[in-house]
Amino acid sequence: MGKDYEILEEQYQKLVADKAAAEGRDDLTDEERTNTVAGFDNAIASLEESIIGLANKAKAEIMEAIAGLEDKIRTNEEFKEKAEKRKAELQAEIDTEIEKGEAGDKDKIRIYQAEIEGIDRDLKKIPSEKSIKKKITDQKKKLLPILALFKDKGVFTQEEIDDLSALEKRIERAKKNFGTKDDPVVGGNDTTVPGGDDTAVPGTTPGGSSTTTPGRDDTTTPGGSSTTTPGRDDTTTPGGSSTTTPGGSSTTTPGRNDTTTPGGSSTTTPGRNDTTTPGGSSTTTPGGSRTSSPAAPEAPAELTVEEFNSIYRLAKEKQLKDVHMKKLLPLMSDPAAYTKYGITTGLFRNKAKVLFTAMGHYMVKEYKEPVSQIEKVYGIDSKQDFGEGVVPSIELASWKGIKALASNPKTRIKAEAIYAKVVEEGDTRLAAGRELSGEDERLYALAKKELGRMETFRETLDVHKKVKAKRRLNPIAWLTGGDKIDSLPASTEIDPASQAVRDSVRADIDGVGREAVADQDRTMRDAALAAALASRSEVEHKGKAETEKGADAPDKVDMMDNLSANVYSPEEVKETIVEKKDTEEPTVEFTGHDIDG
Amino acid sequence: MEEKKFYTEEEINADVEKLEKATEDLEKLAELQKKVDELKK
Repeated sequence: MGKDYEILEEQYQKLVADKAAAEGRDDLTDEERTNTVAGFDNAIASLEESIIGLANKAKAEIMEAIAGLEDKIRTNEEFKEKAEKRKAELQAEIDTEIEKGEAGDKDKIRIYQAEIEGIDRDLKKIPSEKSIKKKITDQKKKLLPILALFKDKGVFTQEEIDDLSALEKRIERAKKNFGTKDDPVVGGNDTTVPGGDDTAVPGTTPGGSSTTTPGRDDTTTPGGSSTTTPGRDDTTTPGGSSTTTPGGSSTTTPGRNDTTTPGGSSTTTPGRNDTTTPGGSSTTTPGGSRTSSPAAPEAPAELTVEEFNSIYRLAKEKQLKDVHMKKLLPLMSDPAAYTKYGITTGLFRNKAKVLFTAMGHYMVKEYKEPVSQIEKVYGIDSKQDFGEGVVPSIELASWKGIKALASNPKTRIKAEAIYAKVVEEGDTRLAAGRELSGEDERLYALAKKELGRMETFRETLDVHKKVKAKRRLNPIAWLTGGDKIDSLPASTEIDPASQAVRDSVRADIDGVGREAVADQDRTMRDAALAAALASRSEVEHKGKAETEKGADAPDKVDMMDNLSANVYSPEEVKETIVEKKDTEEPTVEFTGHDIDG
Repeated sequence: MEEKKFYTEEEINADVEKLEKATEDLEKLAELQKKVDELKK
């Protein structure tokens, strides 16, 4: 194109120069140019005609480029939507298989994961809308000032100028309208791609074929249905001949009434990447490289490495669901699992941290009181799952996650084990003459500090155990002050008939105590007080009921009297609990990866 | 995803470049047209 106008200008200048030279002068005056050069007016008219012809051609190129951009953006948007939809479907399938446990189809999971990863890879290749818009805006800034000039020449209509003025909006529309029934765009845009310029350009060699099809197949099925063939023929040769000679490359003198049609300008069928492998056909095992240790035969069978990796991937995106939590929680107390799933890659590595943080995120999202609630929901038994002897070989996880464990009596042992593990590792390193530095040093110090605090927790637990043991031995004695049982009158020896009352009371005490601990996170002392308060009422009620039944049970009366004399008063209990709650209620937050000790 | 149907940055840039080129041509033609308009005066 640039060459075209240069030739024209050259011809014009040559014409003037020849005339001037013929008269022995350097140049002609304007008047002379107009009046003395034979046919000069015609030459100018012809030149202008050529310019307009070329402008029309440039316009066609512009329109086609814009149409191509619109189409590509639409296509990308459509792809993105379909991709997200497909990913959701695949993930649902994976979740379903995971939920089946051992019966789940591992191959299916692996294949679907590979497909998801393939889709993700494709999505990353799609350029951002922002970058495209910027390029378009830059062009628009250059284009708009000259459109008015060519509008006067009939190259652009006002409507087209308005359209180009709102180029970004047009692109935006393309983005929003993809695949809709009212605006079928996937099936090729029949209206926007110029099929060549109908305006005759004088002096041009016929360039290309005017019958070339714009770069898409207009007869294909419009988009809108996910089952229809996308509206383009991926195998078609780009419309138009790419070898067309730009109009104007002829050396003929301007002014000839050449009637040839300018070369079709539709030479740019968007280059599709049709030969690439569709995402999902890959059979690579996702996340395999993350697993440092192969699946150990002795590891739990219910969760494969592939499944774990799938869950881990979701954890990274903080998209854990109930089904994933059910799979993850048992791992917390299974040292073998940490090896199997490659979590133990180093004391302070990130994998466990990611998991803990994601789990914490889930807990906070789903439940306001993370640890205690999650235990309830998933039926974790603190003794079994977090008891002594279960020292997970976990690298340091989210400190806040551990603190959350430490904040709950049921999981303190677990937290203590983690702290101990950190300290042990740190001590080992120091003993070996290795210095701790950076984060390691910081965490080591924090763990030591926390471990010191855990002494208090341990003491609490010891008290708990003692109280619990005594309570089990004789709940009534425990309620009434423990050792005072000896002072009870002989008649207090409870006959078999009252065994039901005793059992019931004991069950209630246990139940209330557990609830109190779990829900309020009180110390066991507080829990005992709460239990006493509840049980006193219960004992009185049940004892009275027994008495009213007519049972001859002086022992019950004695027992109740004794209770009245020794059990904490309701006010006393309330005060204690309130006081503790105001000062010691733990707060736990899962707000990210921060480690604040 | 049975079939891959999207455009990469390079593919989109082909249209952007085409737009740039055509705009540049039009700018040059506009300059030439201004000269012609002056000649016609």
